[in-house]
Amino acid sequence: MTVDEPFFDIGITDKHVEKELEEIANAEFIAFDVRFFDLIGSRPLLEPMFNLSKTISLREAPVYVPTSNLLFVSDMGARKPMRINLTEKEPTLEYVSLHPHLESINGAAYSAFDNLIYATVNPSPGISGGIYAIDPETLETFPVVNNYVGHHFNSPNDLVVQDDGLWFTDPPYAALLGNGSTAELRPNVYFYNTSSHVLKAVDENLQLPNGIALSPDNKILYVADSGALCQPIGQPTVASEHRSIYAYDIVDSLLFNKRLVYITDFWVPDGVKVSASGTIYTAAGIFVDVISPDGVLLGKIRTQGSMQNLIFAGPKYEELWIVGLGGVYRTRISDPGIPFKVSKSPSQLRIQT
Amino acid sequence: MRQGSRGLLGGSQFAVRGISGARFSVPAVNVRAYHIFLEMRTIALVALLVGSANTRPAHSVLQPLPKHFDAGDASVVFIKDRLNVLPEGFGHHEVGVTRFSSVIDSR
Repeated sequence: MTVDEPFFDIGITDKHVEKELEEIANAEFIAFDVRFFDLIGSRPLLEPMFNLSKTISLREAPVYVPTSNLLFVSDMGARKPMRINLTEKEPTLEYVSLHPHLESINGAAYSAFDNLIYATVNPSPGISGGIYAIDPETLETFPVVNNYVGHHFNSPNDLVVQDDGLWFTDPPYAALLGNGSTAELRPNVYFYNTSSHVLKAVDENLQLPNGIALSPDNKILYVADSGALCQPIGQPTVASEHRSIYAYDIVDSLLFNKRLVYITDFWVPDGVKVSASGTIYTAAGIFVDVISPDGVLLGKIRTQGSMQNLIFAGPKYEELWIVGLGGVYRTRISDPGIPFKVSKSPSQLRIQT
Repeated sequence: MRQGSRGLLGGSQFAVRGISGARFSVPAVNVRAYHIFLEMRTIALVALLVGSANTRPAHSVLQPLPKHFDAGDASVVFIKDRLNVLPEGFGHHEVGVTRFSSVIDSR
């Protein structure tokens, strides 16, 4: 069995088990642990949104802006972000333009520290790969960091905000996708401080660092390694390579005590988010895998697409939005995300150019 | 309560005193036939037990949802024992099986 096959597609001769596997294949919520039921709560909902499931486009970088109750999602196919208004009874979607234009936004996170969206941007014509800031009100953008002492980043993938610090990953996906680039840096995890402007690599020993998230107390950093996708696009996933989530202890913006927390059974871990309870959620192909802080698979949320990333949203952070190749999903669960501590009003927070 | 023993050794009457103290008779059991019946019943029970021990229960990978949980309109399943044991022969692909004897033989 390959990692491109979900476990319920396993070949089985036992008719009773075969029937049960069919039932699993049609389920939206698959519990592996009784704790999963408390997390999803009674009457859980999984809704495909905006009839996007039939449009083939990679969607990434979901980011929730609590001050305006807006959700931004990067639509790689449309080469511009979608803005979803969560204030309406039924969320509404519109495409917006950024100024200057950014495309191929692959990861994003909201900073309550300065009311900005920070985005990891892949290299594209006229745009160096790096971290860019987006004002969620004016949609103005500006570069934050686009090189490491003169060296181009590979293809910055995802990031997470810790006060005035940004943790981000930089795998060579752009090269794997065939953009002709040559790596000038190893696949690294970086820390960037927006106040001191210090940029430093904090782990160079991951194969394809991908999704990244912090524990509720900001003491643990989780990083996904999707190294199993190391082949050029179109080639099968390499089961013997990494499809892992690692945890690190954070001390003075350095990483210690790296340990394996989880490996996916299907596809690779892409986006990673952590709820207020410390539960880890990762988008892994058709599934969102739900994992306890000590690395126990609690359950899976099953979508009909290939999901890349996810975000907690809504006034109480009880909506988990899942985005990817097969559309955009919303699920309401009983395990809310980590609330932002917004200390300044939006009017006090302006873009710094 | 049993008043007479003759019936047990082949007699035709089995005298019994009821709760009220009145004596009455019931047909005696054919002890030899009854003994054979007991033996056959024991053999059958033993055979049933042995049979059930040898018959594995149907393999299952699902278990009931917790009673307190209301799935509503959602489709929810609960994997049994974390899928740790699947019926033999699972999977699409031939999995390499190390035969230690062949490894030893090939040295």
